[in-house]
Amino acid sequence: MMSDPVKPEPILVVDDLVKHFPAGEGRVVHAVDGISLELAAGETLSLVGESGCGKSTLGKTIMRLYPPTSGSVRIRGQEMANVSRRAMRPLRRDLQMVFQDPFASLNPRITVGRAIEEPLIVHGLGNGRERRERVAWLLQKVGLPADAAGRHPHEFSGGQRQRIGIARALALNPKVIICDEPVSALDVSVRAQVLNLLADLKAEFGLAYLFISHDLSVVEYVSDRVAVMYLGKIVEIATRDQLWSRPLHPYTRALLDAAPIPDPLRRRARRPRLEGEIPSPLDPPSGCRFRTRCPLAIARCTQEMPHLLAAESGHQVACHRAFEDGIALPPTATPAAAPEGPALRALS
Amino acid sequence: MRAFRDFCRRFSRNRAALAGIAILLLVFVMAVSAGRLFPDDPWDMIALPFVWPGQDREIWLGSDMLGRDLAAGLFHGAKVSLMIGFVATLMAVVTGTTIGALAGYYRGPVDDLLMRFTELFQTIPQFIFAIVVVAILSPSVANVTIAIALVSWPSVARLVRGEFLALREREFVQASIAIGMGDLRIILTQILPNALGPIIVTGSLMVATAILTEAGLAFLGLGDPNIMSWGTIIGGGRDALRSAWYITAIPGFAILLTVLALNLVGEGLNDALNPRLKNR
Repeated sequence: MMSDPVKPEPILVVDDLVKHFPAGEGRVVHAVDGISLELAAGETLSLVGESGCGKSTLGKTIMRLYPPTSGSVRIRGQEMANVSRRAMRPLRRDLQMVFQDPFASLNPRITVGRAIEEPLIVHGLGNGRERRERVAWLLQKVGLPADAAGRHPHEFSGGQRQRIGIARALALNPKVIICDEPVSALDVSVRAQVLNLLADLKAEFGLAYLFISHDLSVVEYVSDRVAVMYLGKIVEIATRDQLWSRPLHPYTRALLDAAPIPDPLRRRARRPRLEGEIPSPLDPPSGCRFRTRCPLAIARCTQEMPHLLAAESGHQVACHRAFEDGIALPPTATPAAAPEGPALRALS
Repeated sequence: MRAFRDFCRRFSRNRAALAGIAILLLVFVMAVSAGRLFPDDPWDMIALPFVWPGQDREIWLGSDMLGRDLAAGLFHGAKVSLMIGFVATLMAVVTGTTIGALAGYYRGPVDDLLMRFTELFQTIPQFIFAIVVVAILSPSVANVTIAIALVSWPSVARLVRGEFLALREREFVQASIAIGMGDLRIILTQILPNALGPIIVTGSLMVATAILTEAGLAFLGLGDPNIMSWGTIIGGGRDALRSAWYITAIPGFAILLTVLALNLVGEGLNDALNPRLKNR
């Protein structure tokens, strides 16, 4: 990926990051297999993919919750993938995380105020009074009452707890927050509230989000750019509008097809559904990892691993067939296709 | 503090556990008042031998075959039993928690090393091991305590390791790493408070085992020869078991009650601290 000299240095750069887990008997789980991406200040980049594709592992490896196998992660130009834990600590002030499960991510024995204060204590910021003031300010920023500080996590609902988790992530004034499925454990009714809170905070503090999700409707709502992951690799990365209007990778198209459209008038053209299961990351297929489920797979796909190549400005795809003539990929949703099935009959 | 009040409410609902607390308090009062009620050495031969309980108002629990006051022995013995039981348990819990926490938190080679070391202790039957240790170290109160601690800590280490292995995977621990918290701080302030429940329960049951072990050692003559303990009295009364069974029965009953009480309290703590049964 060539960086334009006019463009400012991205705030977070992930370069060929690999995370393999040993699985016994010399076998290896290829959870994250050579991922490169860049995140600009104030941008939201979403990572989407099926469960098991390695998106959460990628987030946690960037966060150094797992030691990376190889590769590089730079935050504001500073390497953090292979530095000591001591050297890592100051870098963490720029990079924080919101976790998936708001019930598991807060220590049940620690008050909410203390949980939000902990990052400040660990980094030696402020005295007791200043820290308490900042906790109160953070609580107000995430829309929780000031008296929440003295209470325990179990006294709060899922949405409120996720607000607490967000306040904790904000405490150090980070530049980048990795949001690991921040709303997937929440009731649908409170999802929008939390997403709006994240959007407000992004605007107010100029935060950049790496937003990990499997929910395309959420991703479409929050993202500036989207990276699609399959079996530890990025198969397509594009701006949100490019991806939704012109998905190039057959996997992306299958994902978009699988997402329900809540409008019976916008029926889709029928296309073969994605079949089978995601292959085991213990033994990923040769060549293109998607070839075992790909409707367009040819012999070349078994031999040669496709690389991410630019299809248009800001839009890269890793597919041998995406650039062939004659396989012009049509837009996914065909508005008002032929009337068919009971849905339309019921309308007339 | 709300959590503590909840705990007290749940604990006090358990009648058996309250009875256990009452018995333990009684034993504790016996231990504390021993020096005041029986200022003389319990080894002193103050009466005729084989005085049955109730025969003589002066020595209401009777005397043993050497004419020593059984009541004095019982009260002083309470002091020894409780002290050895609690001190040995405290030592075992501190050692076991430290080793288990390090093994469970760091996993990998640290875990392997510490657990193989722990298993080394577990392969020897506890009581036999305690006998060997006391025989080597010479019998004294301190050495008996050390021996009991030495044979008790491995089970704590295994328990704490298991708790740590499970808790360290929880997201709140990852969140602590994410904010840059150091290992020691995570172990002490994040994981340990969540593992305390099972440790306390095991500890309370371990006091009972320690008291039994001490009595067993004293019965075999491996207790401190200068200290009157319940096991010592039983060991002495063994020879006269058929003619004067009360000599063994009285301290034996005291051991039974104390151990029962500790088990009841342990059960009560388990029910009150175990979150899975919270809504029972």
